[in-house]
Order: sequence, then C-alpha cells, then structure tokens
Amino acid sequence: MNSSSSYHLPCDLTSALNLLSEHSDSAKIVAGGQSIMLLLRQGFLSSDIFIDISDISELSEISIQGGAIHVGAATTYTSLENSLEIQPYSVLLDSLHVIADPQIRNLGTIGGALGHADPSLDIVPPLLCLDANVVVQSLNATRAIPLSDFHQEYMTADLSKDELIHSITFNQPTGIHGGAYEKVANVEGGWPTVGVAAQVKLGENIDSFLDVKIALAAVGDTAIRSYSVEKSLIGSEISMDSIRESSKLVCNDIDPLDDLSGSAGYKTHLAGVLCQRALVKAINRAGGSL
Amino acid sequence: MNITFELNGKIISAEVSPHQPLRDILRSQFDLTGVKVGCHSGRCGVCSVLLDGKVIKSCLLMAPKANGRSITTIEGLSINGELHPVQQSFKDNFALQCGYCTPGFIMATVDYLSSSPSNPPVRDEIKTAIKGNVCRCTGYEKIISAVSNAITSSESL
Amino acid sequence: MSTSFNSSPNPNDEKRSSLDAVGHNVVKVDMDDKVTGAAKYGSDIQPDGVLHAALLRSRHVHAVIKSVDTSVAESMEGVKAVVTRDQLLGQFDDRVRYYGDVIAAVAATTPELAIKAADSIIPILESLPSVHDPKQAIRSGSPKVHDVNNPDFGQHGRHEFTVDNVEYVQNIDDYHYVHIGDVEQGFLEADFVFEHEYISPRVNPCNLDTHCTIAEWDGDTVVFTETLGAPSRSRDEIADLLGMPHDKVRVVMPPVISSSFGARSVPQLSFEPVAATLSREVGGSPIKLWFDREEEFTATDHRHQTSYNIKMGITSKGMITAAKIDLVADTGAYPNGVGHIVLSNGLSRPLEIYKIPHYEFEGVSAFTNNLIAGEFRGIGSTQLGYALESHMDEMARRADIDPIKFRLMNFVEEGYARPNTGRPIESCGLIECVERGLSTFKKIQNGPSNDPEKLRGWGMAAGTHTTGLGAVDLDSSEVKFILFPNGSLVVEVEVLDHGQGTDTVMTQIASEETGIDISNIHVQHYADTDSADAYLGSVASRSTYITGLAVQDAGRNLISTIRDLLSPLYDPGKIEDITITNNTVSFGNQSVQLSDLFDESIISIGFAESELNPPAYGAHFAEVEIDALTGHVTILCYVAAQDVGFAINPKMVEGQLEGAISQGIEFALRSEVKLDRGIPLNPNLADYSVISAWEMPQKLICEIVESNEESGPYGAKGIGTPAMPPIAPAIINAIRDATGIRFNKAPVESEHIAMALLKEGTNQ
Ligand SMILES: Cc1cc2nc3c(=O)[nH]c(=O)nc-3n(C[C@H](O)[C@H](O)[C@H](O)COP(=O)(O)OP(=O)(O)OC[C@H]3O[C@@H](n4cnc5c(N)ncnc54)[C@H](O)[C@@H]3O)c2cc1C
Repeated sequence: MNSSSSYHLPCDLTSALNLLSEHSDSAKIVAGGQSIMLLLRQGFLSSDIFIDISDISELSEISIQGGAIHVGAATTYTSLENSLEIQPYSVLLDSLHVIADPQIRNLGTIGGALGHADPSLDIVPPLLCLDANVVVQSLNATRAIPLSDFHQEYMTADLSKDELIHSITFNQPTGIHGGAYEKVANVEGGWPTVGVAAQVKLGENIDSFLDVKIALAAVGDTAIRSYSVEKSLIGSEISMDSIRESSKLVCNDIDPLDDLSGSAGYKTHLAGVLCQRALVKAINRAGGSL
Repeated sequence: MNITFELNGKIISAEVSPHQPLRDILRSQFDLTGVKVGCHSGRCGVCSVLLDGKVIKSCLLMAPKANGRSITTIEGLSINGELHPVQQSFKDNFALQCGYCTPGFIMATVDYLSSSPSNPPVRDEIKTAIKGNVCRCTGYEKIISAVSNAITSSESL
Repeated sequence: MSTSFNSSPNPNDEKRSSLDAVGHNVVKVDMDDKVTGAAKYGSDIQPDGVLHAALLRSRHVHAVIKSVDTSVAESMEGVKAVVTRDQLLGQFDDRVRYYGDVIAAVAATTPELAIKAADSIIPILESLPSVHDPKQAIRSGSPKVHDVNNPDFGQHGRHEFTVDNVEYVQNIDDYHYVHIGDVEQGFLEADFVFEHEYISPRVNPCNLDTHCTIAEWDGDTVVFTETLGAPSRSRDEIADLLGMPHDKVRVVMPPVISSSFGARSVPQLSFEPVAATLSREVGGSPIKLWFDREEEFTATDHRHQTSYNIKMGITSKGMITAAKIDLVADTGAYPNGVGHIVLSNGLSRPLEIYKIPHYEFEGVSAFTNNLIAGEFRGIGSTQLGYALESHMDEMARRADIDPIKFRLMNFVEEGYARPNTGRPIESCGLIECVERGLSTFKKIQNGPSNDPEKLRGWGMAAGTHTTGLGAVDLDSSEVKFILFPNGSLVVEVEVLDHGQGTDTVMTQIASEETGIDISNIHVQHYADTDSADAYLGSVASRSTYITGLAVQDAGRNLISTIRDLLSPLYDPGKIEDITITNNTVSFGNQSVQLSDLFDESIISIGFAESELNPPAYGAHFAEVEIDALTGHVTILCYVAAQDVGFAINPKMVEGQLEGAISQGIEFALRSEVKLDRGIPLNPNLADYSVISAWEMPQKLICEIVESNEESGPYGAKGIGTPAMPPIAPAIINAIRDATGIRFNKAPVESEHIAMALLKEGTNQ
C-alpha cells in the first residue's frame, strides 16, 4: 500500500466537503468507482486521497420538489431504473436499460457519469434533452449549471477541485410529450457506436411539434445537441417526410471519428437513422401518429 | 488501511489499499479462489460476487468500498454442504463445461432471483440478467435453461 | 429451453433402450467442485515461496536488440531474477519479430512488483523493415522474418518440403500441393466456372482463464504445472525448444483442467521457456507466469488468418467437374507446427465432403511480423469450411441452381474412396443431416418480413472434420482400470477433461461394460508426463472415439479377469453373463463378494488403435433478420444437424454444438484481432467482441444424427471440432440471401452490411 494514500468514507455531506477542501489538490471523489478502477489500473490516475461518497445517504435520494425532480449524484443506475419517480421519463429509462450490465449498473452512478464526462456515456443525451441542471457544491457555495455548459471539452467537467456534484435536477415535461433513446453498439450492452435521444412536445392536435430536443452520444468531444434538426422541426407539422429530411441535418452538428467502433462515415449514417427512429418512437409515445 | 466487513457470514478485517480490487484481496488473503480472474476491465464477469446482496464485479470494486458491507462469494452459497438451489440447477441442466465462468453466472443468477423475475420465465429477461457474464464453452443455452428452471422451482418451494 | 433432442424418430431408439449408461443424459461427473467454487485451476495454485514473473515485451514488430538496461529492475527490493532475451533457454536470438516478442523477464515476490520491475527495463532497439501481408511475404523483395525457410523451433509435424511455385521463395513455414486428375481439362468440361476469394479473420480463442504455468527445477529436470491438451507431445516440444533431453522435462496437470479449444495444445514461445529460465536463475524455486488479458491477446496463438481463392467448374446440371484452391495462411512470426495442419486440412476437407474429379490445391503458410497463429477449434477446417461453403452457395445462386440440391448432388457417400488417399469414407450421415435439419428448420423458420427495414433470409452450409489422428499416424490409446474390493473403480485415461465431458463419457462406458454404478467410478488422468508415455491428449476430437474404445476394451478385460477368478468355483455356463453391483459380482441369481475374490485390487488394461479417421459431418441452417439501416444482424433461428455416429451423452453433444455455434457466430459476425502493421488495436475484452447470450440465435435446435460409425465405441465419432466448419458459412449465406450481397471477408460486421446496402441503394 502506498504509504501516503488514504481512503475516506464520510457519512455526511459536510465531512465530505471538509475533506475535499482540505485535500483539494490531491483528492479524488469516488462514487461507484467503475470508471476510476479502470483508470487506476491503466495508470491514468495519480491521486492518493480518495473520498468515497457512497455512504452519504443525502446523495442517493430521489425526490420531486415543485415541478422538478432531483436525483442525488450517488444514485446508482439500478436504483434510478427502479425508482417510481423516474418511470414517466421514457427517454431516460431507455438509456438506463442499455447501459452495460447488471453488475456495472449496481455500482455505477449518475454523478459518476457526469463527473467522468465521457462523450460516449448513454445517460448524458437523455439528460440534455430534459434540460437538466447539475447542482454542484463546495464548502462555501452551491451552484446550478445547465448540463449543456457542464461538459465543454473532451472528458472534462466544469468542476473546481473543492466541488462535488450534489445532484441533477430537471423539470417534469409539460403538455403532450414523449421521449426515446436509440443506440447501436457492437454487442448488447456495449459502449454506443452512436446513441441518439429525442424528446418531443406536440401541439394540441398532436399533429405538430411545439418543441423538439435531440442529443447524441459518441459523435464528438462531448455529448451534443443537434440544433439543426430541432430548428427544422419545431413548429412544423408531423410527417414521416419531414422527420426523414430533418434527421439528415444531424450531420451538421456532429463530428465523429474513425475508431474501433466504426468509421466516421458509418457513424454519420447511424446518427441520421437513429435520430429518425428516436423521433418516431418519441412521437408514438406522446400519442402522436405517423 | 484496515477495513472490516462481513464475508460469507463472518465478520472479518483486512489490510487493503485503494488501488487493489476486492477480487485480489478475496483470493490472496482469504483463499477464495472461486472468485476467478479473467480480465481486469469488468468485461467477463468471472469475478462476480454479491455486495449487500447485489451482484457486482469484484475486479472493479475498490477494496475499501467493502468496509461495513457484506460480501458473498460462491463459497458462501452452499449451506452445510448442501448445494444452493441455483448451484443445483446449473448442475441438473448441464449448464457448464470448463466451469471457470460458473461461479460468476451463479452469483448473477442469485441476484436476479432475488429481484422478482418474471414467472413463467422470460428468455430475454434472463439474457439481460446474465449479459455481464461471458461463457466460452456452452453457447449460453443450457445456462438460460438453468436460470429458467431455478425460477420455476423456486416458485414451487 | 428451445433445444430439443431427437424431434424426429430416431432409428437408434431401440439401441439406446438396450443400454444402461451409454446413450443417456448422465449428469456430468465434474460438476460439484465447479458449482461450489472448490475447483482449483492452474492459476489458483500458489505454492509456498512462489515467485511471480512478468515480461518486458517488444512494442516493435521487427527490430534488433542493441542493448537492454536492467539496472533499475535489479536494484529493486523483492526482485529475485532479471533475465534478458539472450539468456533465455531456447532458440532466442537478438531479434524481436512481432509486437509482444520477449525482450526480458523478471521474477519478484509479488505480481505487482514484477510488473513494475519489468516496466523499468530500458531496451534499445533498432527497427527493421517488417512484412505484414503473407502474400507479399513469400515473394522476393520483402523483409525476411527468419533467415531460412522452415526454421526448427522444436515444433511437431515439422517436415521437409519442396516448393513447386517459383514465386514462393522466402518466409515459408510450410507448403502443400496436390493435383488429382487434370483441372484444366475439368474446367473445359464445365458449363459454368466461377472464381472468388474468401478472407477469414484472426480470432483468439479467448479462454476465460488466461495462460498460467508454474515452472520449477527438480535437479536437472524442469517441471511445469499447467494444462496442456497433449501433455506428452508438448513435453517433447518444450524439451526440443529448450534443447534438453525429453526425459528432463515433466508436465504436471493442475487439479482441474482449463478449457482449451486448441489454445492449450501447443506450448507458447514466450511462456514455458521464460518461466523455466527464471526458475533456474533462482535455484529452481517455483515461478508463476500468468498472462493478463492483453498478453493472452498478443502472445498466445490465434486462428490462422487465411485467404482462400477458389475456382470451380460445374456442368449445367450442377455436377462439379473441377476445383482449384489456393490458400495463403498467416503463420505470424514463429512456427509451431500448426501451419502444417491448416494446409493439410485445407487440402483434404473438400475431398471428404464433395466428389471432385479434377482437383488442384496449393497452400502455403507464411511467416510475417504479425501475431503468432496456432490451434483453435477445427484447425484449418473452420477456415476452409467457411470459404468452400460460401463458394458452393454463391456458385449455385449464380448458376441458378438450388444451393441445397447442388450440394446433395455432389456429396460423397459411404464407401466413396477419397481420391487423395484412396481410403473409403467410413460412415456418412450427410444426407440425413440435410434432410432432418431442413425439415426441422422449415418448421421453425419465420419467413419473409413485411417491414421493408427488416431484411430476412436463410442459408445453409455443410461441413466436416475428421475424428482422431488416424490420418497422421496410427492413433492409439491405453487405459488402466483398478477395481477395489469395495466395488469402487478407478479409470486412468490419458485424455483430459477440459470441460467437454470426457470424464463423464469414460465413466458411462466403464459403467456400461462392467455394470458398476456411475457413482462408484472415478476417472483419473495420467496427471504427469512421467506416468505414461507417448500419448496424444485431447486433440482432434479423438477422445470419445479412440479412448472410448480403449475404455470399452478395459471393461471387457476386467469382466473376463473376474470370470477367470470365478471359473475354478462355478460352471462356465453360469458365469457367462456377469455384472458388478456395489461390492458384489452377480450372475444369474447368484452373487459373490468382491472381497472373496481378491484382496487389494485387480487391474485391467485396455487398448485401442485405429488407422481410420472417420469424418464427422454436419449441415447447419440459419435464418437472419438484418436491420437494413444499421446493418445489425439478428439470428432468428438456427438448426444444427450433426452426425456424431452415436450420442453417448446427448445433452453433452448439444452442449458441444451450442458452444461451437457461439464461436461460429463470432467468426461470422463479430470477432477479429485487428492489426495495424502488426500492432494489435483491440487486445482486450472491451474492444474485442466476444458474444453474450444476446447474440445467440433466438431459437436454436440441435438435431443429432447417428450414422453408427463401425470403428467407434457404440458407433460414436467426434463432435467438438466437426461442429465448427458449417456455422459461419450458414450465417453468411443467410446474409447473402437476405441482402443479395456476397460478403467475402469475415467477420461481416454491421457496418459492412449497412455501407454495402447504402452503396446498392437498398436502404435509402
Ligand atoms: C465494463 C464497463 C462497461 C460500461 N459500459 C457502459 C455503457 O455501455 N454505457 C455507458 O453509458 N456507460 C458504460 N460504462 C461506464 C459507466 O457508466 C461509468 O463507469 C459509470 O457511470 C461511472 O459511475 P461511477 O459511480 O462508477 O463513477 P466513478 O468511477 O466513481 O467516478 C467517475 C468520475 O467521476 C468523478 N465523480 C464521481 N462522482 C462524483 C461526484 N458526485 N462529484 C464529482 N465528481 C464525481 C470521479 O472523481 C471520477 O472522475 C461502462 C463501464 C464499465 C466498467
């Protein structure tokens, strides 16, 4: 054992924040540890002081306050998937069902995903579609950051060294709405080659789009919103043609790379296909028809 | 650091470092070699154990995380030499060949059975329950049968 | 769940009902320790004072080692030995030839320390030009991997050869050529000639427990504790590699044998010699060398990547007139005798399944600076099966002949003399496989889909692989029975139970022959190469066939020994039919205690040999559904009809088939070690796809066909490897049916399908 390394398992938030401010230079927050353990093994992490937040019950609570839902950062994928509060959010549920496997889901947390900031994480596009805010806390301050601003560079979260992610909040969608997440991976439960989330709000007659949100995983430095697709659909009538045509615009907003999961050309093609499918599913779930 | 946890029903303590996966502690300090080693990246599932009753991969569990929790390995399943019903079902259904993946599959199945699986069993649901575990010998068919029969016979108990 | 055994009436039902232990689903005998976690595999062994090894491996694909600075490693506390490549026992020179080749190795008190010490070693390497395309490698002008063709690394099957092709001048591991009849004449007789190339992937067996050996010295003898599928042959190979007499090397099996699929059939260059050297450096104490997953991917053998060029001629009716097959196989950087098998199986398999009047085959296995190739389930036959059955299918479709009828027309049959050896085909269940397989398949097939985004299609492929080693040598096996007065019987066999179930099969046969209850029979392996000589191990699907026969013989000998003991006391007529139950011998309505007949134990020896290597056949059927937009392939249903001669344990036969199907799906659709100029891009289980339960067919039925092989025990022949060849082509032919596109490079990944459809405009 490294003589200077230490591992803390604080039971309350204040102790955790104190530890964090004390060791802000060298401390690493641990939630499920699923990503950290891999980084440690590959020698990518040099931290010696670990602050494990999984015993802090406040951080694994899910609650509804006002019209907003709050998910504690240390909530595991499994408990989120099973929570009653989350059942109406089909876009989120879809993604929870396709992340890795039961073992990883039993430990991996939503805060860990946001902290890790990998552009391929499945849970981020649905949260972007829900306009989620990240609540970040330090000993002295609490701030809420729109998720779209929280991840601005590859694998980097907007966190100071003395801050931790407290929770993720998003408003309950209003009106006639539906959402869906579509993913293609090499094998079931594998990292996405491409993942696309769609959330729609339909007009009273369920024949037009009042609002559309599209977000994608694995096609850029961060998870990406596709404003081109959104803009071209908002206000328009629902038709298969318009969905098909608009989905093609997704290529304006993405920048995929050639890698082992597929070529950039294939990913661009998939982005369009999955965008279309996610939209169709979202519309169907909203009660619309095509 | 020193941690204390419940291991297969006994309270024990162990000296661990944050860099160590729990798997290595279980094998080297407690000789629980039913916890297997197949990769180091959470992909194969042979090191699966239960953490407070939920299945996890012990190659990805930072050892200090076990502190104050309960860990069950394959060695902790059978009681008084009698096979656990899931173990029995794997045996009855030819659900293994080389056997190296078997402890991991059995642990995943034990967790699945405790989470009120559909009964009559649903094949796709079973596949999802075992998708974190790789088997190179059986082609999974007989494992699916073993899980399925474990569900039906647990109901009839 | 959805598997069923014998959905159609089986002519062997009567035979089966007359048998007590054989032919039935006896529960595998090795289960208890495996379900409780008590089973100790090689990697679970931790002898007192064991030191751990780690290697520094080359990150160059071809280079000369100029110097190696080991000073930091040597100064580390807890590091007990550091050796460089030039100090290794065996044939190591100053050149590294592939990514992963050994540069230096250390032994230390913990695995972590050993890795740290190995990482601290600084090598100075000077890059050499490298070659990665086997077709280029064998032609003049490209870099030479070894200075000679056919270098000797102690490999089995090494033989002198002459190369009849003037273009093939260097980097030649092995070469096989045959010309039967006159192919040019055959092509002239044809109404339709078609030629195409098929490329197979480099695949790793991915055994879940990675290679692990414990090496130690006992005086001047080096002892390895590890699973080696053919322990004695491997002992000889290791000894030859180390330059030691064969009797100074011992191989001891761990308590529980690891899976292999061929991966543990031959020693590995950067494995046994390294562990042996380190142990010698520390005065003979045990050294544990345990590969991690990345080493397993880089430094252990892969299935040979092959390119097959097939040209075939047929008459307008569909009779084959001629075939010309060219094979180039990638051996990688070092020989191990397996290139020879890939070529010889590639040469002979076509003649064991189809009647081809005029036939020419040329095969070469080439050295390159790529990862080393070796044994993996269905060596050579798997690649040939994929190429040949893809070609048969495409040929039929282009000639507008039904692909199944086309095959039926050209299949060999019982008694047909193989033109390359003159030997007649022993037993042949091919037609029954096709008929039973097809009829079951038709019952479960979904048929076309209404959804334009879902393309459905189906395909079939036949395949063969021989049982036993009769083609190479006279295959033989010896077993020993020891019966104790309490009625317990020890059966000592040379074949290892990697999990495939040979211990159970031998138990069943021993029980059948003697009457002894399954629970009183204990199969033991000759656990040590010192205790039995010149045996071949669990390779080539020979275990049930040849060792099963020897067990049968030993059983009969045991009964006759007991009869001899009884004969002074009883009428010969009375003791004709005797059987052993618990601790008594019974005959008629009489019984005698075993302890009244002998005191300590009686021994009987069984022996079997065979010059035959009966081919085992299969016909497999697959229906796929393809997402026209993403290219994703779902296997909706799959029927594997396999001729096993006679199923000694039907459930275990199904298990072999189902396992083979998972590996065939990987070959067809998913798995490939990708190299960039020799450097592996995906040497881990995150980037190299092995399939989970989800990628298996949604419906899977095994049809066991029993052709009753006369030379085998109760009519049985092999299953483990013969199951492999038809799988990938059945799936790829189904994709052809669904898309109209012939994919000739496996694995056929979703991306390939989606992009090809996009090009054709089918999925716009
Ligand atoms: C085998 C495997 C397969 C996977 N497959 C998928 C997949 O298919 N799809 C997918 O989306 N994901 C996949 N993942 C990734 C998985 O989603 C992440 O590992 C997981 O979400 C991380 O959560 P964690 O709690 O384990 O994070 P940890 O590993 O504990 O932490 C990750 C990072 O976040 C930081 N962090 C954690 N919590 C906080 C906090 N509250 N405040 C500030 N920083 C914090 C940590 O310091 C660290 O930098 C896979 C992972 C593995 C190991």
